[in-house]
Amino acid sequence: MNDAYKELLATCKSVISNPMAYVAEWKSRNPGKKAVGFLPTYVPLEPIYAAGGLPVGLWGSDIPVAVADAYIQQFTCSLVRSVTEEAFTGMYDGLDAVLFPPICDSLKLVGSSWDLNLSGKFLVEFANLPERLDGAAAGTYLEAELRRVSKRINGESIEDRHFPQAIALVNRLRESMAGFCTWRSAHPVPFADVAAILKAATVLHADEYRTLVDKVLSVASAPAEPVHAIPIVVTGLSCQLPHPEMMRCFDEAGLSVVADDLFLGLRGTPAVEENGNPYANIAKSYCKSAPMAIRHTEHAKRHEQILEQIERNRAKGIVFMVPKFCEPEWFDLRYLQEEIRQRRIPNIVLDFEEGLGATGSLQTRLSAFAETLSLR
Amino acid sequence: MSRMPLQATALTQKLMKEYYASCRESHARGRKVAWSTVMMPTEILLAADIDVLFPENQSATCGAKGLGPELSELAEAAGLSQETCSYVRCDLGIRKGGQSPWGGLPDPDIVFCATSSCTTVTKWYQDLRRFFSCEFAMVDMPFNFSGEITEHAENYIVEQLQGCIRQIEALTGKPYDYERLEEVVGLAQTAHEYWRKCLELGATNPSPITTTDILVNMGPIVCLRGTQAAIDVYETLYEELLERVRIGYVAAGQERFRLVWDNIPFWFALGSTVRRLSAHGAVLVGATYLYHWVRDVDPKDPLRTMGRAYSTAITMNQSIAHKITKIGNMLELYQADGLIIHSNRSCKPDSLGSLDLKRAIEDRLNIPVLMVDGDHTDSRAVSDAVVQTRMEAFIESLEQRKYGGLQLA
Amino acid sequence: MALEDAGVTLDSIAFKIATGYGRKRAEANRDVTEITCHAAGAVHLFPGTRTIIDIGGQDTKVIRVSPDGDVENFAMNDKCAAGTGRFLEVMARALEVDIDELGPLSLESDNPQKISSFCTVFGESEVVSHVAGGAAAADIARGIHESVAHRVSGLVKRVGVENELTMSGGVARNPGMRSALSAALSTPINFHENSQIMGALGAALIARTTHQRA
Repeated sequence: MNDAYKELLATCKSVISNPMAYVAEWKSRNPGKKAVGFLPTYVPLEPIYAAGGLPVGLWGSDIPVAVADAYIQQFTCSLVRSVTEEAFTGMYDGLDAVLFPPICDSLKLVGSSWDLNLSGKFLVEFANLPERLDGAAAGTYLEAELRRVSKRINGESIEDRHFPQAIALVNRLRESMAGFCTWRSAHPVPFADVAAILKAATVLHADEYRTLVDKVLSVASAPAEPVHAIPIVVTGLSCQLPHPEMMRCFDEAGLSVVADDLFLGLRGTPAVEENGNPYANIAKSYCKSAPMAIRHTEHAKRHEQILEQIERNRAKGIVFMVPKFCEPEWFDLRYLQEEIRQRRIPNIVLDFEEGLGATGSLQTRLSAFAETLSLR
Repeated sequence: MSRMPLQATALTQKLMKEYYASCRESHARGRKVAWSTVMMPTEILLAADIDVLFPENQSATCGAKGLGPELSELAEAAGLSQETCSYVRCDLGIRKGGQSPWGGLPDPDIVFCATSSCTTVTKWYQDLRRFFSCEFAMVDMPFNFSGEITEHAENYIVEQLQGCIRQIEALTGKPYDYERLEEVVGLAQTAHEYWRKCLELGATNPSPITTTDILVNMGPIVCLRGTQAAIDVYETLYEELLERVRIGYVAAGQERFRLVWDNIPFWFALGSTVRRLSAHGAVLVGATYLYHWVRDVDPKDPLRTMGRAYSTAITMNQSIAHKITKIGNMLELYQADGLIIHSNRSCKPDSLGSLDLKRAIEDRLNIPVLMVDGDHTDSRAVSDAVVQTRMEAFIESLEQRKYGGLQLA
Repeated sequence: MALEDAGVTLDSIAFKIATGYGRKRAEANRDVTEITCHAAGAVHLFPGTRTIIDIGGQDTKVIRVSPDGDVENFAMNDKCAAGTGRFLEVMARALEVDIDELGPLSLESDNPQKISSFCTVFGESEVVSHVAGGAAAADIARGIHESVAHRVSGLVKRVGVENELTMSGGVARNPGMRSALSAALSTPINFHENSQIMGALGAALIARTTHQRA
């Protein structure tokens, strides 16, 4: 791999291994500006950037959960539990505010618990995104909601003239992520690295991220090293970016993840128009989100999206990696799997839970899946 | 004092039986049928002469009849994960050929869901649309995290209800009768008022009615508010409760401990739960669940006031801080000795936050709280022995607290 | 030790395959998951096998193979212990019966006691309350096996039942388990007295094929 890629990967790994150190460092460079945490999968980042702030994706880690057990029950996904553990043990105290998108029943109530218990440390706000994307009502509502949220987290209304630059910045962030994903389909890199690089896109300032990715994309790519791994697609984690340690199991099993719909929120919203009413434009982009389990969309649209990924990348199989206790994903799985089976595409369902030393069993399942694929 | 039967219960049973029978008959004659989630302003459907049926109620009945595990297994075999709500699994189990305690529901022409109860219903009703190839209507009710509904959220709900009305017009082929809607909402409000008064009388210490007796009378307020028949039931119940209070009738015989239940009951063990508690003189005098129907709607502005009611009366769609205040007030009204919280793995929105609720009630009101893990219909997720032990230990602790030591039985 | 018993020496082995949880750490020519190995072993002993059920200590696997013996699909239990050998161990302890006696004991039952919970911890308390309620040990033992069989049959249905069925792994030697599973799936199940080495046999067979091909 080229040096630009090595630099991108090293920076991303360092940032995600200790995001709060990066936040502290960024804040010392930008006195008086706010660092605003957000929960997956998506909140509009433009109002934060428009005020000169830093949006920070909160992804938790594989730390053992102890304190969070006193606040939320164990029938919630590992992301929610691990982020809550970090928040309640003071790891996020360097943030000025945290935004919750109430996209599932767990996030609604867990956000409410943070508000109840942590609002002395930072502001806890809801970006109350609509669940439905159809019809004019959702767009009008979201526009007004974004104005409200922007005023709340920034302490004042941000003038519209500050927006075009912020919108352009986030558009380019989306381009960088998409550009990287296209690049990696042609340059198979370990899935663990993909997860780290995508995750860092929500922590690093968008300008810094873009500079690093642009360098990778602009270097005339050396011919990819021959890879014997079997190409597959992963779906089921529209809110999550697993810990790289866990994703290493794919690489070790000899599976190359050529496409995925991990953390689809930011990646799955199209570019926002730069001119005109910024809030209306952001709302318009949101309402065109890619189909995912946590939005109200027709089953068929998500099925098409995944089948297209399999076909375009000539994937040999699909892994459904579904977070334990994630009701929306488990609902979608039923028809999606039916569709995949009808087409006789090899597939496997793994329930995903970060931590708990689950990698042993994950490894066995993935290796066995790779063995069945290599026999075909 | 000898046991006084409730006239209202007989009326409820007759009304609900006739309602389901008439839905079946009129559907056979071509009248339109809707399936709806329970936390949906179904007044808009009643006003258009559409029969409304509730799969959630059917699933609760499945639970009560002990059919939860076998129906869940049918649903699981059909690919629906055990991680999903057991109400949905019961419904899918029936659709996959399982036994319905009601002999099934007539197929819907349209399905309505509102996210005021949970986001689960969106996924569930998408599945119904696919299964029945029918119309689908939805009302997205934004989570009320601050205690006050924003104006834009209220507008959003109103616009969606107007959208639902356009779908109803398309279905019935008739222009929507807004005067009729005002009339229905007016009747619903009268039913709400009687319901509220019945609950308030039920809170009298000692209690003139058991919570089980209120639960068995929920059908009309859930399904038929907006009809005169529902008002008749609750007017009767109210009169009966007034009389019981006047003569000093105590429904449970003795009340050594007055307890309130939070969350949906274990439907499959409601009777045994009550019996076990009463063996120790502990009585369920109230249930937070019943308060979802304490609402205010105004016939002069039906859509807006219904939208507001669904954002402010349903705790599943509100902040934990709000739930703490609401339940705290209720415990004081009931002069409760303790609160039992059912941590229901099939109902995240009503269960997450329970640990904060428990702490707040214990710290602020100094009322002991027991949390039991369970599920509203899937008894496989509940250990009867564990629940029994926890409840008994809780009562022992109340005993020490209230009477200064364990009493010999 | 094992080599001595078999009368071979290390340098007479041309190709080694490691399988099971420690397979990555063993010194071998390559490693193969126990899923593929169990399938190969089962098909060798019972060539008509299309479905293999392996109830292990920590996990339970159901494997579907093609008529040629290639693994087509498989399912494993999730992280909880219900439906595994571990469940049987915990219940045997709750019943105060030796684990090897649990199966034969269950065959004496004429009135099985239902264990309905899908959680091991809850299941244990159900067993304890059946004991306290005076139920016969044989009837509780039968209920325990039926609970595991019920759980495993759900897993089998996930990959689709296809005859013939073969059981592998140590738990296959438990006659109570075989009987309960056969009843739950309404089909006979192949069983070999050396079921616990089916995975090892499979590994050896794959080693031979791989070596011959190389």
